Amino acid sequence: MDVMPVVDDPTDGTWKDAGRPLSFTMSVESWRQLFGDIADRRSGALEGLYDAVAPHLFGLAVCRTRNREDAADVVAETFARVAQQGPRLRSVRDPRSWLLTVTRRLTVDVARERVRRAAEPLETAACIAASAAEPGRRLDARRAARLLALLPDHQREVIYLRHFTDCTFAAIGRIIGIPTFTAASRYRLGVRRLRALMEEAT
Amino acid sequence: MSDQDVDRLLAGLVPPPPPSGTRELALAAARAAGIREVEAEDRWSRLWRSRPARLAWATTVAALLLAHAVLTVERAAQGGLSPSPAPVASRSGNDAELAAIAELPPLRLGLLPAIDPFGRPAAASSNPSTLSSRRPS
Repeated sequence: MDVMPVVDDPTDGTWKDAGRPLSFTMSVESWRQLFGDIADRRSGALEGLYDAVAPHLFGLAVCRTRNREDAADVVAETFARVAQQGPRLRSVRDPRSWLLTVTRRLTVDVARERVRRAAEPLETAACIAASAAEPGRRLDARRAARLLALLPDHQREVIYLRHFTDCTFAAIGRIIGIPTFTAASRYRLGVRRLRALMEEAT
Repeated sequence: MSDQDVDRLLAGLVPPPPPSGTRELALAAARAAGIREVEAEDRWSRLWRSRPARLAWATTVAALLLAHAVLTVERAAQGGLSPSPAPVASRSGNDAELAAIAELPPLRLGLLPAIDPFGRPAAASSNPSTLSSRRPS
Protein backbone atom coordinates (compact mmCIF):
# COMPACT_ATOMS: atom_id res chain seq x y z
CA MET A 1 0.00 0.00 0.00
CA ASP A 2 1.68 3.17 -1.20
CA VAL A 3 0.41 6.59 -0.31
CA MET A 4 1.66 9.95 -1.39
CA PRO A 5 3.70 11.70 1.26
CA VAL A 6 3.43 15.20 2.53
CA VAL A 7 6.64 17.21 2.80
CA ASP A 8 7.52 20.64 3.96
CA ASP A 9 7.05 23.32 1.35
CA PRO A 10 9.20 26.34 2.29
CA THR A 11 7.22 28.64 0.03
CA ASP A 12 4.06 28.78 2.10
CA GLY A 13 4.87 26.78 5.23
CA THR A 14 2.43 23.97 4.44
CA TRP A 15 2.98 20.39 3.39
CA LYS A 16 2.28 19.12 -0.07
CA ASP A 17 2.59 15.91 -1.99
CA ALA A 18 6.17 15.25 -3.03
CA GLY A 19 5.54 12.54 -5.56
CA ARG A 20 7.65 9.90 -3.84
CA PRO A 21 5.91 6.87 -2.30
CA LEU A 22 5.52 6.69 1.47
CA SER A 23 4.98 3.04 2.20
CA PHE A 24 5.41 0.50 4.95
CA THR A 25 8.37 -1.02 3.09
CA MET A 26 10.24 2.25 2.47
CA SER A 27 13.90 2.59 3.48
CA VAL A 28 15.03 3.12 7.05
CA GLU A 29 16.26 6.61 6.10
CA SER A 30 12.78 7.54 4.87
CA TRP A 31 11.30 6.19 8.10
CA ARG A 32 13.72 8.24 10.17
CA GLN A 33 12.92 11.32 8.15
CA LEU A 34 9.21 10.79 8.75
CA PHE A 35 9.80 10.30 12.49
CA GLY A 36 11.92 13.45 12.52
CA ASP A 37 9.08 15.37 10.89
CA ILE A 38 6.65 14.05 13.51
CA ALA A 39 9.11 15.05 16.25
CA ASP A 40 9.13 18.56 14.77
CA ARG A 41 5.32 18.48 14.92
CA ARG A 42 4.95 19.26 11.26
CA SER A 43 1.35 19.19 10.21
CA GLY A 44 0.53 16.28 7.96
CA ALA A 45 3.32 14.04 9.24
CA LEU A 46 1.08 12.03 11.56
CA GLU A 47 -1.52 11.66 8.83
CA GLY A 48 1.18 10.41 6.45
CA LEU A 49 2.34 7.91 9.04
CA TYR A 50 -1.20 6.66 9.60
CA ASP A 51 -1.84 6.14 5.89
CA ALA A 52 1.43 4.24 5.55
CA VAL A 53 1.22 1.93 8.54
CA ALA A 54 -2.33 1.66 9.87
CA PRO A 55 -3.41 -1.52 8.01
CA HIS A 56 -0.19 -3.36 9.00
CA LEU A 57 -0.51 -2.38 12.64
CA PHE A 58 -4.21 -3.17 12.59
CA GLY A 59 -3.57 -6.62 11.09
CA LEU A 60 -0.97 -7.39 13.74
CA ALA A 61 -3.38 -6.32 16.46
CA VAL A 62 -6.16 -8.49 15.00
CA CYS A 63 -3.77 -11.47 15.00
CA ARG A 64 -3.81 -11.48 18.79
CA THR A 65 -7.05 -9.80 19.80
CA ARG A 66 -9.21 -11.34 17.02
CA ASN A 67 -11.46 -8.37 17.52
CA ARG A 68 -11.67 -5.38 15.17
CA GLU A 69 -12.73 -2.87 17.81
CA ASP A 70 -9.94 -3.88 20.18
CA ALA A 71 -7.47 -3.78 17.31
CA ALA A 72 -8.64 -0.29 16.31
CA ASP A 73 -8.11 0.84 19.91
CA VAL A 74 -4.60 -0.63 19.82
CA VAL A 75 -3.82 1.35 16.64
CA ALA A 76 -5.11 4.55 18.24
CA GLU A 77 -3.08 3.92 21.38
CA THR A 78 0.01 3.25 19.26
CA PHE A 79 -0.38 6.68 17.67
CA ALA A 80 -0.80 8.24 21.09
CA ARG A 81 2.50 6.61 22.11
CA VAL A 82 4.14 8.02 18.99
CA ALA A 83 2.98 11.53 19.89
CA GLN A 84 4.09 11.09 23.51
CA GLN A 85 7.66 10.41 22.40
CA GLY A 86 8.02 13.91 20.92
CA PRO A 87 11.69 14.79 20.25
CA ARG A 88 12.79 11.32 21.38
CA LEU A 89 11.46 9.95 18.07
CA ARG A 90 14.65 11.18 16.41
CA SER A 91 16.69 8.64 18.36
CA VAL A 92 14.64 5.64 17.13
CA ARG A 93 16.99 3.56 14.96
CA ASP A 94 14.41 1.42 13.18
CA PRO A 95 11.03 3.20 13.28
CA ARG A 96 9.14 0.41 11.52
CA SER A 97 10.25 -2.24 14.02
CA TRP A 98 9.63 0.23 16.84
CA LEU A 99 6.02 0.73 15.70
CA LEU A 100 5.44 -3.00 15.39
CA THR A 101 6.97 -3.58 18.83
CA VAL A 102 4.75 -0.97 20.47
CA THR A 103 1.68 -2.34 18.70
CA ARG A 104 2.46 -5.89 19.72
CA ARG A 105 2.98 -4.98 23.37
CA LEU A 106 -0.29 -3.08 23.46
CA THR A 107 -1.98 -5.99 21.72
CA VAL A 108 -0.68 -8.45 24.29
CA ASP A 109 -2.05 -6.20 27.05
CA VAL A 110 -5.46 -6.05 25.37
CA ALA A 111 -5.48 -9.82 24.80
CA ARG A 112 -4.70 -10.42 28.48
CA GLU A 113 -7.50 -8.08 29.45
CA ARG A 114 -9.77 -10.02 27.12
CA VAL A 115 -8.87 -13.27 28.87
CA ARG A 116 -10.09 -11.69 32.10
CA ARG A 117 -13.36 -10.92 30.37
CA ALA A 118 -13.68 -14.56 29.39
CA ALA A 119 -17.45 -14.46 29.46
CA GLU A 120 -17.49 -12.41 26.27
CA PRO A 121 -17.74 -14.42 23.06
CA LEU A 122 -14.45 -14.63 21.18
CA GLU A 123 -14.65 -13.30 17.64
CA THR A 124 -12.41 -14.43 14.83
CA ALA A 125 -11.79 -11.27 12.85
CA ALA A 126 -9.59 -11.79 9.81
CA CYS A 127 -6.04 -10.51 10.05
CA ILE A 128 -5.59 -10.61 6.27
CA ALA A 129 -7.69 -9.59 3.30
CA ALA A 130 -7.62 -9.49 -0.47
CA SER A 131 -6.09 -6.36 -1.92
CA ALA A 132 -8.29 -3.90 -3.73
CA ALA A 133 -6.35 -4.67 -6.89
CA GLU A 134 -7.31 -8.35 -6.69
CA PRO A 135 -10.93 -8.60 -5.61
CA GLY A 136 -11.12 -12.09 -7.12
CA ARG A 137 -8.97 -13.42 -4.27
CA ARG A 138 -11.52 -12.69 -1.57
CA LEU A 139 -12.31 -16.37 -1.28
CA ASP A 140 -8.61 -17.18 -0.87
CA ALA A 141 -8.30 -14.44 1.74
CA ARG A 142 -11.24 -15.79 3.71
CA ARG A 143 -9.85 -19.30 3.56
CA ALA A 144 -6.36 -18.21 4.59
CA ALA A 145 -7.74 -16.11 7.45
CA ARG A 146 -9.80 -19.06 8.68
CA LEU A 147 -6.76 -21.36 8.61
CA LEU A 148 -4.52 -18.79 10.30
CA ALA A 149 -7.10 -18.39 13.05
CA LEU A 150 -6.61 -22.07 13.88
CA LEU A 151 -2.91 -21.58 14.61
CA PRO A 152 -1.60 -20.74 18.09
CA ASP A 153 -1.15 -17.00 18.64
CA HIS A 154 2.63 -17.13 18.75
CA GLN A 155 2.86 -18.94 15.40
CA ARG A 156 0.23 -16.79 13.71
CA GLU A 157 1.91 -13.53 14.62
CA VAL A 158 5.31 -14.74 13.35
CA ILE A 159 3.76 -15.80 10.03
CA TYR A 160 1.96 -12.47 9.82
CA LEU A 161 5.13 -10.46 10.52
CA ARG A 162 7.12 -12.51 8.02
CA HIS A 163 4.60 -12.44 5.18
CA PHE A 164 2.79 -9.13 5.56
CA THR A 165 5.28 -6.74 7.15
CA ASP A 166 8.36 -7.96 5.28
CA CYS A 167 10.36 -8.45 8.49
CA THR A 168 13.46 -10.63 8.73
CA PHE A 169 13.59 -13.28 11.44
CA ALA A 170 16.08 -11.10 13.31
CA ALA A 171 13.62 -8.19 13.21
CA ILE A 172 10.76 -10.46 14.28
CA GLY A 173 12.89 -11.65 17.19
CA ARG A 174 13.51 -8.07 18.28
CA ILE A 175 9.83 -7.15 17.94
CA ILE A 176 8.55 -10.12 19.93
CA GLY A 177 11.51 -10.30 22.28
CA ILE A 178 12.71 -13.77 21.37
CA PRO A 179 15.94 -15.12 19.78
CA THR A 180 16.16 -15.13 15.99
CA PHE A 181 16.34 -18.92 15.97
CA THR A 182 13.15 -19.17 18.00
CA ALA A 183 11.37 -16.82 15.59
CA ALA A 184 12.47 -18.95 12.62
CA SER A 185 11.45 -22.11 14.45
CA ARG A 186 8.00 -20.75 15.25
CA TYR A 187 7.57 -19.77 11.61
CA ARG A 188 8.62 -23.19 10.36
CA LEU A 189 6.28 -24.96 12.79
CA GLY A 190 3.47 -22.57 11.92
CA VAL A 191 3.85 -23.16 8.19
CA ARG A 192 3.94 -26.93 8.76
CA ARG A 193 0.76 -26.72 10.80
CA LEU A 194 -0.86 -24.50 8.18
CA ARG A 195 0.05 -27.00 5.47
CA ALA A 196 -1.50 -29.82 7.50
CA LEU A 197 -4.66 -27.78 7.96
CA MET A 198 -4.80 -27.14 4.23
CA GLU A 199 -4.51 -30.87 3.58
CA GLU A 200 -7.30 -31.59 6.04
CA ALA A 201 -9.50 -28.99 4.40
CA THR A 202 -9.06 -30.54 0.97
CA MET B 1 0.89 -30.16 -0.35
CA SER B 2 4.16 -28.25 0.21
CA ASP B 3 5.40 -25.02 1.73
CA GLN B 4 5.06 -23.42 -1.69
CA ASP B 5 1.31 -24.02 -1.50
CA VAL B 6 1.23 -22.06 1.75
CA ASP B 7 3.25 -19.27 0.17
CA ARG B 8 0.94 -19.31 -2.84
CA LEU B 9 -2.12 -19.04 -0.59
CA LEU B 10 -0.72 -16.07 1.31
CA ALA B 11 0.87 -14.33 -1.67
CA GLY B 12 -0.90 -11.20 -2.80
CA LEU B 13 -3.02 -10.95 0.34
CA VAL B 14 -2.72 -7.81 2.43
CA PRO B 15 -3.53 -6.68 5.97
CA PRO B 16 -7.16 -5.63 6.34
CA PRO B 17 -8.07 -1.95 6.41
CA PRO B 18 -9.00 -0.64 9.86
CA PRO B 19 -12.68 0.14 10.48
CA SER B 20 -13.95 3.52 9.40
CA GLY B 21 -13.36 6.11 12.07
CA THR B 22 -10.09 4.59 13.24
CA ARG B 23 -8.09 7.27 11.39
CA GLU B 24 -9.87 10.09 13.22
CA LEU B 25 -9.66 8.18 16.51
CA ALA B 26 -5.92 7.54 16.16
CA LEU B 27 -5.04 11.06 15.07
CA ALA B 28 -7.17 12.59 17.83
CA ALA B 29 -5.49 10.34 20.39
CA ALA B 30 -2.08 11.34 19.06
CA ARG B 31 -2.87 15.04 19.19
CA ALA B 32 -4.27 14.77 22.71
CA ALA B 33 -1.20 12.84 23.85
CA GLY B 34 1.07 15.40 22.21
CA ILE B 35 -0.67 18.27 23.98
CA ARG B 36 -0.49 16.42 27.31
CA GLU B 37 3.20 15.81 26.75
CA VAL B 38 3.87 19.50 26.11
CA GLU B 39 1.89 20.53 29.19
CA ALA B 40 3.59 17.92 31.33
CA GLU B 41 7.01 19.29 30.48
CA ASP B 42 8.24 20.97 33.66
CA ARG B 43 9.60 24.49 34.05
CA TRP B 44 13.24 23.42 34.31
CA SER B 45 13.07 21.36 31.13
CA ARG B 46 11.60 24.30 29.26
CA LEU B 47 14.28 26.56 30.69
CA TRP B 48 16.99 24.06 29.74
CA ARG B 49 15.74 23.91 26.15
CA SER B 50 15.02 27.62 25.89
CA ARG B 51 17.22 29.30 23.31
CA PRO B 52 16.89 32.82 24.85
CA ALA B 53 17.91 31.43 28.26
CA ARG B 54 20.95 29.74 26.76
CA LEU B 55 21.86 32.93 24.92
CA ALA B 56 21.56 34.96 28.11
CA TRP B 57 23.76 32.49 29.96
CA ALA B 58 26.42 32.57 27.25
CA THR B 59 26.33 36.38 27.13
CA THR B 60 26.76 36.61 30.90
CA VAL B 61 29.75 34.29 30.88
CA ALA B 62 31.33 36.20 28.01
CA ALA B 63 30.78 39.54 29.81
CA LEU B 64 32.35 38.21 33.01
CA LEU B 65 35.40 36.91 31.13
CA LEU B 66 35.78 40.23 29.34
CA ALA B 67 35.49 42.21 32.57
CA HIS B 68 38.08 39.99 34.22
CA ALA B 69 40.50 40.48 31.33
CA VAL B 70 40.01 44.26 31.29
CA LEU B 71 40.55 44.61 35.04
CA THR B 72 43.69 42.46 34.95
CA VAL B 73 45.22 44.51 32.15
CA GLU B 74 44.37 47.81 33.88
CA ARG B 75 45.90 46.69 37.17
CA ALA B 76 49.06 45.50 35.46
CA ALA B 77 49.34 48.86 33.73
CA GLN B 78 49.10 50.66 37.11
CA GLY B 79 52.23 48.96 38.48
CA GLY B 80 51.52 45.38 38.97
CA LEU B 81 49.42 43.48 41.35
CA SER B 82 49.15 44.60 44.99
CA PRO B 83 51.54 42.65 47.27
CA SER B 84 50.29 39.98 49.60
CA PRO B 85 50.13 41.03 53.30
CA ALA B 86 52.15 38.07 54.68
CA PRO B 87 55.51 38.90 53.07
CA VAL B 88 55.04 42.51 54.13
CA ALA B 89 54.70 41.49 57.76
CA SER B 90 57.81 39.29 57.65
CA ARG B 91 59.83 42.06 56.01
CA SER B 92 59.05 44.59 58.74
CA GLY B 93 62.23 44.06 60.84
CA ASN B 94 61.67 47.06 63.05
CA ASP B 95 58.78 45.54 64.93
CA ALA B 96 60.40 43.05 67.32
CA GLU B 97 57.17 41.74 68.75
CA LEU B 98 55.79 41.02 65.29
CA ALA B 99 59.02 39.24 64.33
CA ALA B 100 58.89 37.11 67.49
CA ILE B 101 55.34 36.08 66.75
CA ALA B 102 56.20 35.26 63.16
CA GLU B 103 59.28 33.21 64.14
CA LEU B 104 58.16 30.10 66.01
CA PRO B 105 60.52 28.49 68.54
CA PRO B 106 62.33 25.49 67.03
CA LEU B 107 61.76 22.04 68.37
CA ARG B 108 64.89 20.36 69.70
CA LEU B 109 64.64 16.84 68.53
CA GLY B 110 67.24 15.57 70.97
CA LEU B 111 65.29 16.78 73.97
CA LEU B 112 61.97 15.04 73.63
CA PRO B 113 59.91 14.60 76.83
CA ALA B 114 60.25 11.22 78.48
CA ILE B 115 56.99 9.38 78.93
CA ASP B 116 57.09 6.81 81.66
CA PRO B 117 54.21 4.32 81.54
CA PHE B 118 54.66 3.47 85.23
CA GLY B 119 54.33 7.08 86.39
CA ARG B 120 57.86 7.50 87.76
CA PRO B 121 59.18 11.02 87.66
CA ALA B 122 61.79 11.62 85.03
CA ALA B 123 65.20 12.96 86.04
CA ALA B 124 65.22 16.59 85.12
CA SER B 125 68.96 16.79 84.72
CA SER B 126 69.54 13.70 82.56
CA ASN B 127 66.33 13.78 80.59
CA PRO B 128 65.07 17.27 80.21
CA SER B 129 61.54 17.49 78.90
CA THR B 130 61.33 21.15 78.16
CA LEU B 131 61.33 22.91 74.90
CA SER B 132 63.85 25.61 74.43
CA SER B 133 62.29 28.89 75.15
CA ARG B 134 63.39 31.77 73.12
CA ARG B 135 62.44 35.09 74.29
CA PRO B 136 62.45 37.94 71.92
CA SER B 137 65.36 40.17 72.57
